[in-house]
Amino acid sequence: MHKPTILITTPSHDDTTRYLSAWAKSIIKLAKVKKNNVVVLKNRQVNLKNFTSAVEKTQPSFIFFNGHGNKTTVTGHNNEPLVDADINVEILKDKVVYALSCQSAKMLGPKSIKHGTKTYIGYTEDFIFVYDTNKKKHPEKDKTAGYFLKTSNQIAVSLLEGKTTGQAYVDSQNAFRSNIKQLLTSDSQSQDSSMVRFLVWDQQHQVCLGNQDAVIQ
Amino acid sequence: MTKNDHIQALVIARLETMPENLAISIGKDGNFNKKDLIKHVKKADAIGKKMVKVELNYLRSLKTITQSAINNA
Repeated sequence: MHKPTILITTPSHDDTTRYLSAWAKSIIKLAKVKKNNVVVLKNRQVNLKNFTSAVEKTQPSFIFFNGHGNKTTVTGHNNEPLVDADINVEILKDKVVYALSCQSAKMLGPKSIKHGTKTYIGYTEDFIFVYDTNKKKHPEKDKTAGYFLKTSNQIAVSLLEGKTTGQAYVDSQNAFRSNIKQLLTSDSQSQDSSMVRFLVWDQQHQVCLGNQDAVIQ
Repeated sequence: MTKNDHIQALVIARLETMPENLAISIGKDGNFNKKDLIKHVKKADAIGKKMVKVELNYLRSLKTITQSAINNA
């Protein structure tokens, strides 16, 4: 039976990338449980050379980027560009992509779709999250950050469960709504409700471009 | 007081409710605690303007969010 290959990038050179990488661990675990071939580039491994080589050798059906980005780029270790809309966008051809990074769905996403990417899920503005500075040594235990990162990672969870890209997007949107509602309507402390504006921001700027019926295969 | 001054004051008042132990990650722009953010809003620099944009976006969305919460209650 054909096993899809999943490529996950987890740079870890600053607080933001350390948090994204820590929360990506459960996705890596799930991908392995689901018997996928899982390729993880972590820390210093997340550079253009390794990324290009991994894509060419393994032909992943799903690429999950964790890292920084801007309108035209997603980056790896020390913000080295991995994909640039003007340089190597075709590397994403035939792939399902989820970029947990800032802004890349604004220009890189649409351009990648024009160049044959099946689906590009990402954010058209900065992905903002709130975290507890007392939990910086154990980001995966930071419930505050979890409101954002577990919710955004729902995209990858749903895709790994065999759902379509469109459904994965809906699942993540619903998870955002659920958190927002919980924080606005429950007995949550006022400090929790100060996060709502950022959840609303991320929810509204998360987009699913291209084929809504694609699955990882 | 101009309209912008009012908005700035509103955003600062909202940020004041954030507990000291929380910080905000804004991608490559960096990570900021409450005091940092308030300084940026007062300076009206790029980070400060981003905070204003987030707050205004939230306020504009409140009606829809509230309606959605009521419908799904």
